[in-house]
Amino acid sequence: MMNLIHDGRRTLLKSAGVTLALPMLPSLGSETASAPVPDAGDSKAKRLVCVGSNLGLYRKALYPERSGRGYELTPLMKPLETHRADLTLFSGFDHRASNGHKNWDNYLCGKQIGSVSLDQLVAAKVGGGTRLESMQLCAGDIPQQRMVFSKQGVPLPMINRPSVVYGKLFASADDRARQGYLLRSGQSALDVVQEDARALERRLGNEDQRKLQEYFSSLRELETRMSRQLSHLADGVEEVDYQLPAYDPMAPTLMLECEQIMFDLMALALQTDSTRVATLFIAGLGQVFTLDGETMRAGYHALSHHGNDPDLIRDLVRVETEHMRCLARFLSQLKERTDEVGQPLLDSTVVMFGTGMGDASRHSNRDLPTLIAGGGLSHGQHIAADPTDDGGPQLGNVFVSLLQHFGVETDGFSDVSGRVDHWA
Amino acid sequence: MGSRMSLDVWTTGPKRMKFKSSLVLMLVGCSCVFSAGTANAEEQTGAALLRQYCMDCHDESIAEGEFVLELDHLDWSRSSIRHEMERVHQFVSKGIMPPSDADVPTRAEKRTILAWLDGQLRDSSPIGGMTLRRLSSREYANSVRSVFGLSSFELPVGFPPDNVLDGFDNQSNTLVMAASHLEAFAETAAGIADQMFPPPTKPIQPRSYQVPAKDLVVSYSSAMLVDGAMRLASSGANIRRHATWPSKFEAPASGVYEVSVVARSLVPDGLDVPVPILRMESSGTSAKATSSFAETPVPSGETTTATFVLGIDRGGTVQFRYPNGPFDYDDKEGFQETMRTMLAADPRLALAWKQVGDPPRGGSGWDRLKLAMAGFEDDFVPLPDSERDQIADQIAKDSVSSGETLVYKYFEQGPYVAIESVTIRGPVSTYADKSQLRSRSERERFVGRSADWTDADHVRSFLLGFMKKLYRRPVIDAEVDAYCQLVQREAKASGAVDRGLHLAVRTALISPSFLYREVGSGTLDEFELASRLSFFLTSGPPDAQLTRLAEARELSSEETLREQVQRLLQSEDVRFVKDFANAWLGLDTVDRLMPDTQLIKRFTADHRNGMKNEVYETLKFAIGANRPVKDLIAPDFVFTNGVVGREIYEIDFDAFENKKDRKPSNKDVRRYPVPADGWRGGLLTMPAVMMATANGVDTQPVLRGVWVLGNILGSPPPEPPKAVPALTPDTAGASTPRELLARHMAESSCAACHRDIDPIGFVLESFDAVGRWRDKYPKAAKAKKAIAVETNGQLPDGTPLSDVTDLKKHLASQPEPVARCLAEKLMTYATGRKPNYAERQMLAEEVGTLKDDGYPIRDLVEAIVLSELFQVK
Repeated sequence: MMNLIHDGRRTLLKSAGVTLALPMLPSLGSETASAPVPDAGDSKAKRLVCVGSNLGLYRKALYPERSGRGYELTPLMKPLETHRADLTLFSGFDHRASNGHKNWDNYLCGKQIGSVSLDQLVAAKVGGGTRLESMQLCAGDIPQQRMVFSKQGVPLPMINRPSVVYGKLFASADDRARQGYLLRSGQSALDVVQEDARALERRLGNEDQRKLQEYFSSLRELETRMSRQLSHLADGVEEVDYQLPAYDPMAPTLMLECEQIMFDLMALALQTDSTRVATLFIAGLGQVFTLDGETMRAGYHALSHHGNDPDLIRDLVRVETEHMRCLARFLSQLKERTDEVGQPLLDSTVVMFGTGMGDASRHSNRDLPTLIAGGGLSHGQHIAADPTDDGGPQLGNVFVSLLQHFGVETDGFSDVSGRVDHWA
Repeated sequence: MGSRMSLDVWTTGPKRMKFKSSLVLMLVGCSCVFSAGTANAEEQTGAALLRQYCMDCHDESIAEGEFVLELDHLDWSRSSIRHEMERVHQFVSKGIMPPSDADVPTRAEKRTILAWLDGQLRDSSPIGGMTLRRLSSREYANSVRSVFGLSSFELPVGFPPDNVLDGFDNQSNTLVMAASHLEAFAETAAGIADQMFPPPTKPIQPRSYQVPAKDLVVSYSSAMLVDGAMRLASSGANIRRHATWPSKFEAPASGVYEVSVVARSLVPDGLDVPVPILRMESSGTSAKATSSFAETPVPSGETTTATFVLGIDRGGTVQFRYPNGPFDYDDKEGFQETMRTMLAADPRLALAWKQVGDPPRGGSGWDRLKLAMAGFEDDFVPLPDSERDQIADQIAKDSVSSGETLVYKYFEQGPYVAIESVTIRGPVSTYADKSQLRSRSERERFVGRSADWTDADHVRSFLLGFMKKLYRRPVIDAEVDAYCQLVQREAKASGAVDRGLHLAVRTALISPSFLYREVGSGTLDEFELASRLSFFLTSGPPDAQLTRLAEARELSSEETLREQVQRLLQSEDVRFVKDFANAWLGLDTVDRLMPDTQLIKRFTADHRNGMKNEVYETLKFAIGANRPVKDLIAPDFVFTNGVVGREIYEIDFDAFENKKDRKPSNKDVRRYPVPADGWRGGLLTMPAVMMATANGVDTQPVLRGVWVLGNILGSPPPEPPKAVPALTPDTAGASTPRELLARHMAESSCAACHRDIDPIGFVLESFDAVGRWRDKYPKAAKAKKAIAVETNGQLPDGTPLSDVTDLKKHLASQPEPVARCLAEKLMTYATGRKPNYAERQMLAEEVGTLKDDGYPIRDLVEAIVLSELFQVK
């Protein structure tokens, strides 16, 4: 539908005899000789952060009654009030996938668990030049849920220790020396095994040689990754003004603290251009949080199974409000800090906060609440869809809009095609 | 003749493959209707008939169902073409195609078509054809354990899992090598090298950690922070529910730590309980000389300060508990008594509980009870004793939930122990913990106790020995030379030979010589045979004996192979039965599903393990005793444990005469006799299988029918047409699954497969989603009465089935399809690929020789290993 609108606009311009360099509109593509051909470098959005909440968000405290720009502020949107113009709330969108904890994994990969996830599609487009093509973080215990899948369908591991993440980004001098040693010597290891592989290749038939190409290309990719890391090591590590706590917040009750630190580290990673694609999984089990000096009256997981009990819901919303505060603080950081051309980072960073669980109380995966901010997209609305409408828009359509916005040439995601109407 | 043509193509083709000569095929393989002389005519007729009956819909211009039958330029040498034509064979033989509303061939014509396809497929399918096979992550981990002697090695969390094909994780086609795999292999390799040649570490300096009470962990309802002190009130064993520990402290090194704690307690006046004890315990210590726990009395009303030293292993912490607290909701039986006493002493609470109904878990539940109690007048009427006890019993039933709520009463009123602050100082001294000691001895075994690395010969012989083990073959000089040079260069650059060896280990672990096995084509050589045999039966690389036999070129003789199969199958380690059964029967599903609590109230690890162990032990027993294959279908025994036996098999253990039988363990499965003609026993009805073929809630006859056809009978039906919606059983309405499925039989294109599927699915409807016998479906909420399970039906060959016992009887009396299917699965697992059409025929013949003995299982495994199929790449 958006295509029609764009085409109409182009026609109008042409008929007026004007040749204009149109602003970057992904769907225009190369068919117009007069318009610039967009490539990756032209895309406004250059960074992506996807956050996934294990236990979802209590939708009744999140969703406004009204859709569109004039939506009313809800308890969970309250912490995000200052960012209202910079974010869009989607309600009623999902992947039409099955229910249950296991199907949380559908969040970023659509209908089929194990399909390449949204962030990895974007990382392939924008992540090439940075030290880490993407990074996967987790606040809380490493879950059974999987959030990120490579294009080979391999779930990528998450790191849940802030000190490890920090070490990866801004290693200490000792660690850097060790890392440098491992990388440099690792390169000669690659040379030797490449010889091994060549010797092997000579003994193989064509079909096996083709299969061995997987090995050779993995070897090349690994080599690229290693030399990228080495050159970043050689550049020296950027001085960042950030003090990690002396302890790793691994205790279950410190999960929110861990979450906050992970958000901070993501902001630092983007600011220093160490990576352009990051994901954060927010776990959650039996821990009892103390918020503003008051201890919650049950564990987080028990709260999420509220069974509509008002007391449990009250505490659940308090915990979820903390997630929203973390998100708000993160968005503020991205507004304050600037990219290489002096623009606020948020202008070129898409931040998505969502979940693979629609209603944790019933383990239902219908209607996944999703917030999207920044990245030069058009924001300020609440876009509502009907999850029971089989022909209605799905989360996959939102993802298509995002992918196109990043300059990825595609018209589909998972089993849906087309962008979501009237957005982006 | 077609075969000759394709042979020409093949011999000039890229990969030298072994062929069964077409002559042998005619003599042995084919009971077909044609002879060599008329083959040309047959081809003509077979192809002509296909053209006549299929091309109306499947020529290029129409391509019905997106399938084009390409008969003019059939290149049988291409596996994709053979695959396609095999499907044509399947569709025609099952009568799926042509559809009944089109022109259909006569029976004689159908025979001609099938004979032609059969001949072509047999002639043109090569024996062998494995693509380059990477070690699966399971095989990789076992190799590391075995080569480096790292018995407790586990893959790091997040190691990329392998793709699975038909349940098998070791298939050469699906085991891809992506950069993320190689990166994970490389990172894991660095970890292994670190263990063998550890980099120097800096000593950890002791320091002091101040822990205010607010920095102690609360999980579930384990503790509560009041007035700046952390109160402990419950006394069960479960740490997560009844203890607290510092959230910001992890022991930086295994060592001795000095722990000081300041605490108070409160025992309400007049309550007769022992002086509260505060127990602090290390989360784990392997230091024998240092204590792992300490206890101090904390008399009510005074402040107690106590200091102890504890040994804490690296990464561990110190946990605080109140072990003699009177409130213990872990102790189910005692809890009922506790509740009765509590409510007798506090009749307001009893009434409040009744009024509130079961309150929410945790503190808000307690708040609600308090609110209710506050509303009672002074002269409220207490509940009668009997009703009060009833409520106490009801509370005790869901002890976890009510315990998490009522512990708040104790947090507020006591008895409780309150921790005000904790100070930890250390490590005062350090020690080598268990894992460090183990690492040290593993390292010494691998590297040698006092290796002289300045001696180049020693380095060389070390590398040679380790590379031979790792590559599972002899290593040529040039290969060792390359690694020696690598070590020398690195040693020179860094000034430490250790670093060079560290690098050599890292390098060899990502070499294709290690990561790929049995490479190339043709017959396996002795070393590759040792490797294939070993990975087949132990999921790991060859042991010393297999390697010795391969070196002496003695392994490939039939006699030796038989001996080795027997030896490997006898070993205590049951990796083979576990790994094979997990893949074949999809048993990992049993771990993943959490069955509906309506079906089974408490589904525990003992249930899961009991179910899975039954499968493993059955296979182990059948192999050990070389039982006929019918014992996998209709045996006179089951292997089970207490919980599964009682709750799922519904075995009356008390009826056994033997005292040992009357007291089954919940941990280990044992063999119990059952009637061979009953429903219990055998793969078809085992709880693990019934559970794995359902979804934890309800059952679907088609899924189970398809599963049995594919995995027990070896004739999987083709994929259903895309347009068909899945059948979701709606037992709430009038329509039973059976009535819904009746539609299949009315539609002839459906009936072609559902004739086979449905009768099997129906008899298995007697088993619910955890494998328990049922006569009726669970009653739906709105339904008047439960629907009875209807199991009667008829197999396509006319065999009537009244219930699952008839199916078992039928298969036990005609076990050939089961034996063939098992053989195909074993071969697929062993060779890393599915046998092709001709290979399956060949395998069937080999299996056929065991018919007279009833296909004994161990003989079957031996036949697999001795098969030509096993021994080619």
